[in-house]
Amino acid sequence: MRKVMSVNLGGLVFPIDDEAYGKLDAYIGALQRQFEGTEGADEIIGDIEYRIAEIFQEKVKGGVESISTADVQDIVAVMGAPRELQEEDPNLTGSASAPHTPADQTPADAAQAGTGSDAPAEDPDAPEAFAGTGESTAQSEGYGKSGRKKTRKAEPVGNPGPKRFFRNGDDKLVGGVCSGFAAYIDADPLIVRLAFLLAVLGFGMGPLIYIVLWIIVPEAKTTSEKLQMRGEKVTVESIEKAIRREAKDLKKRFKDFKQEIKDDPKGFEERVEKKANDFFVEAGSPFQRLVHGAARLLTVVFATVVLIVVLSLLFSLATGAGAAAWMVPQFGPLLFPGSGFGRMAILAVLAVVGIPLILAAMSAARAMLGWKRRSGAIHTVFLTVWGVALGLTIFLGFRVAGEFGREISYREELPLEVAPNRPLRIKRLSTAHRDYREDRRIHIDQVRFTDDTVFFGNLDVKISGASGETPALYRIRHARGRNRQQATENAKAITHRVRNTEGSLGIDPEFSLGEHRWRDQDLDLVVELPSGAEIVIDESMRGLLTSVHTDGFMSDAELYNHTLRMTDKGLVRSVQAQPEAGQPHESM
Amino acid sequence: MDIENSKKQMRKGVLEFCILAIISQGEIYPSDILRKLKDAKLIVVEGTLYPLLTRLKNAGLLGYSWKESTSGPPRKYYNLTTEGEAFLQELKGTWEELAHAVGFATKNIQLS
Repeated sequence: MRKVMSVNLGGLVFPIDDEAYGKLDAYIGALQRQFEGTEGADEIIGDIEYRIAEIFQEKVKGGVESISTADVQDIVAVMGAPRELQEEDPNLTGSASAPHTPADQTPADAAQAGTGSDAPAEDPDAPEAFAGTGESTAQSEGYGKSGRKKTRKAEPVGNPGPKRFFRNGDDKLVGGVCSGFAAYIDADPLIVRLAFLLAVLGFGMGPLIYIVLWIIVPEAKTTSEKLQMRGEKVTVESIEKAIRREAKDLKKRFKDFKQEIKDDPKGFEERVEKKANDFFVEAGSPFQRLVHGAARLLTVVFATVVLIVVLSLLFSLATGAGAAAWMVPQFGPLLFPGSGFGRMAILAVLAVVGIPLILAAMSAARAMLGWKRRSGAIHTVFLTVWGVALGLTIFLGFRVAGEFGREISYREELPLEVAPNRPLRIKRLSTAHRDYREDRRIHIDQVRFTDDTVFFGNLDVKISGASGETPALYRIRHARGRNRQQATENAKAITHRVRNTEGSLGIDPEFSLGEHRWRDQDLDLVVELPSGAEIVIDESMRGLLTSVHTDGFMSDAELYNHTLRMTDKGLVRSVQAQPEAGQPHESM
Repeated sequence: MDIENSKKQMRKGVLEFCILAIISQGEIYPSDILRKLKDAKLIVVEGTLYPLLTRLKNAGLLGYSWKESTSGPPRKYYNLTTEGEAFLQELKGTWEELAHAVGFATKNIQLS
């Protein structure tokens, strides 16, 4: 059984045995290395490929079904072993390359000695030097033992020589630069890609560098190049050597290209014309790959940004959701007109926000990691759930919003007993007995939770003048509801504590709603003082008082813990030095 | 001393001259050049021709043009530039001198 594949040579396609292909590939690879550094190397290789194509064509016409190993061996015998082709160069060139030879030879020989592959050279004249090596492992030993460029590469396949930076065409998102570099430094391509993308985001130079590398770094095409790409570990010396070689290689490629246009503009044009169709139209043509590659690059950059954003959003959402879920027992009945609605609402909102994020994260991950989209089923499920969740969110949203439609306030008078000849002391009632739960994830201003009740601290205390005979205390309740009646009910639900013993008024800084729903309830307490009434505002009232009618000259320090008298102009410091409980230093 | 190597070097020395001479007879593509060179036993392995042609072309002695072939891949037809023509004439002069000298030298050898 043989495996047959096809090979494109000189624009013609030939069926070729798997093994024969390996040999041919190795032979052409060897030729490429043989002529590396020679002027017009690619042209020489190209000409030889045309010749091989011609010979193959004759064989195919002669009835051969596919090119066999023997055919390739014939080719090698006819064309000659790689090193045979170069030998005449120094003899005939004279000026150009001859002076280079001794200089090149020395380091090359040194490299050979270093790699320990100085097996005894085969007969330098035998054309079978290449063709005669039947085993594939022997191939790379076979050629180039004596060629001046060859020595450093004449090593067994297992040890493919100094590592080189190639683009990895087998694993690429755009041009295989990252993947090739990963192979060069022995790292995971994904890590290199991520590092590169971070560099893009951080410095913005990334795309330019990438494009430059894409152009100058050759793609690993032959087997030996692929081996070299993954080759041995890189040392400082080998990096330096590699860089020098790459630079030379690059210069050569630019030069060859220029030379080709200069030498034969007409032929070049014809070929461009001939291949223009392939170039622009056919899938996988360089132009298409360029466009496609640029699109992919953009996609990957975009996908990474999306992924980062989405992941952080999902994370915060999950944390928030955790806190919200914890709050549900308290928030649910507070906000929603039914116990089941609370949980439902939270799940619905989570789904509405979370599903698009998850989908975005998935497609971003796919774009980055090159995953194939497997099935649409998961999308259908997600979209259905999302639709239902959105509907539910809208329904609950309208339902709840409707219950905020009407606002109402009403005022009630509370009994207030004042001791004769003693100022009324106004103070804050202690809330120390309430066992608040602290949750740092969700903090709402002026709202505190105990295990069974929610307390609101948004109440205002006002002290104003009055026309009446005695001090009075009013409580004004505010609330919203679907209609007036409901709003009134909601206002009545406010539970608030005021403790009035003789000579003292204690005000709870918080109110609760019991089991009732929260509909923007608010509370004001107004202490109305007739002219001549005296009060002491305890220090503890700080933060609760929102409005005090004073004469306008009182400082903050004077306001608290001093006896104040209401006058026509407002509260003023009382001139009578009255003994006060708890203020012994002022009594004398 | 390897006799094969000496023969090869001798052929190589005149290879460039012969190739220019073949091309000077009219546009020709490498496979036909090869046939002529092989007939004349001037070349053993075909691969040696291509670097030589490329070098001569890069030196400005040769030009070429692509032509489609009905039976195979497109062919690169080489021709001699004016510079190549002059170069060939000079080589020819040298060759004649050399042939004369070699003839003279070998005559002496045969005599001995």
